[in-house]
Amino acid sequence: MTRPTLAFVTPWYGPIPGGMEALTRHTAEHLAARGWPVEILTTTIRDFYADWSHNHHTPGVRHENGVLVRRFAVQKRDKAAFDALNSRLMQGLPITAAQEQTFIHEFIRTPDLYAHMAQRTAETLFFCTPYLFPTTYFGGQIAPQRTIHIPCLHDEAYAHLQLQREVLPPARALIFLAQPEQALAERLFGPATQQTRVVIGSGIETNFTADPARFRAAYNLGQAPFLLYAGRREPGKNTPLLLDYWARMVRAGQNDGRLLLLIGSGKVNIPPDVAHTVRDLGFVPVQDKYDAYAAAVATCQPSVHESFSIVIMESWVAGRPVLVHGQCAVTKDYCVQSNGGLYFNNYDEFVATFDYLCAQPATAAHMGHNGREYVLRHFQWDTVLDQYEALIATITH
Amino acid sequence: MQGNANPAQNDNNLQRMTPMTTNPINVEEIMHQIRTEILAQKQAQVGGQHPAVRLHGRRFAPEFYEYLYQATLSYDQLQVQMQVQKSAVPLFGPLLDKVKMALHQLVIFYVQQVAAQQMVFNKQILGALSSLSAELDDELEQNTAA
Repeated sequence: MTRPTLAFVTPWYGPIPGGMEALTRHTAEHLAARGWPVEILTTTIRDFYADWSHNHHTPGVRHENGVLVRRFAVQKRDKAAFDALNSRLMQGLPITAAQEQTFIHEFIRTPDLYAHMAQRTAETLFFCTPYLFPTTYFGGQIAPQRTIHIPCLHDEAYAHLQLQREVLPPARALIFLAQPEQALAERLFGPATQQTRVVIGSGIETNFTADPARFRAAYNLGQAPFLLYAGRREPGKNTPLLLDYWARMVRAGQNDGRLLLLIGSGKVNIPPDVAHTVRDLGFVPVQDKYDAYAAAVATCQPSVHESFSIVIMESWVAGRPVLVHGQCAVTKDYCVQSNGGLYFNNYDEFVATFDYLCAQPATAAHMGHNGREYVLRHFQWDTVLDQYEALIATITH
Repeated sequence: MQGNANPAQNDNNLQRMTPMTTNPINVEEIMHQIRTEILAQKQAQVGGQHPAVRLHGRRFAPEFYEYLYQATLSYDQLQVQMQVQKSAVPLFGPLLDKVKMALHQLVIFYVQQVAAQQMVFNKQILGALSSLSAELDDELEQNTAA
């Protein structure tokens, strides 16, 4: 029996920022390296932050890192209509079924992509990711029994739209990144009957070394203990909350010579009166990021909308514990399952958990070790790819 | 009324907690210790006036005790912050800002009065729920023992 082509259907593709983007690219490249025919079916949009009606890339076919990438043109859309409905959803306000259709039609328009998919259903398995985007909604309806979704579901307004119930439950399989995501799918769509649902997670780069002394010397940090934040700095990632808690802690005289270290992109507003306790390094080379994980007391992931979090996995690989928001079911579950980190739901817990990790270095190191073991057990590429292949075998035989 | 734990006291409390270097680590147990300390500090700050809640019990689902605990930390946090965007209008901008500030302050003055009443109500409801759940938990314990 010939191997099917594995086609990842995604709104944009390339070496661009974002967890979903990295997951798609790395999974596709690793499957291709195992000999699978892998294609990317995507649009010409640059990335999430770009104009979704602008053809940044040229439509066509090219090879990128061993993967065949097919880009399809996007058309003009009614941005005002989409923005108005999106704003309602972001505020938690309801929209009608007709408005849901307007929302999805005016999101991204790329009919050539769907026409191409319709011609390739016999020899292709489609992996649509993430949920919510038109590439998943329209692409997922072309051949549901040849479609596997990697939805990256969050408990947010978009997940509760009727649109998702039309597309996700009829698909052949759903791949989840964590147990709480599967539990959310059960709540939204009911138990699986004819559908395979499996928690696989995402592969993680585990073969890196991290040198805390090198990082401290390179950035002139001395021996000051610090809490690390790595990633995009934006309200959606809850970085304003982290800065607010940090500022309150400093103003209350509770930071005790400790620093908050920020790595990554995006604007960040550091209150001037606490600026002496915050170091914003912006973008750093990837090795410096690994070294930073190893040098930190802990890495903080304050986001409440994570479906995986590469950052906490990398921190664990570097042997350090994490501090996550207790309202993020996924990251909290990872901490509890691995015994690799603590969580906070409010300011008092933020201060107390960080204090605990500083005051109990041996326990903190033990947590980091637990986290590392957890990642090595579940998220090494070979483990993840074996599960992908087992799922493909189930579907195609 | 935000929490304002004494840092020195906080550090001492943390060092008293059992360091777990050789035994297997249980994150939920550590969180339980931390939460117990937070509640003890809150009680100490207000002279025992905080509603006393149990962090866990057998009578209800774990979520119930989690909600009670979270409510204990948030029932009195009802401050309203001033949020006035600076005007971009040339020349008259500063004057507009002053008028807006005055209006916002007036609204906050009245909202704070409602917030103070809400705080009292929250405390009473929380106290009642805590007493009720404690009594039911004790009853369950006694029945189990019998």
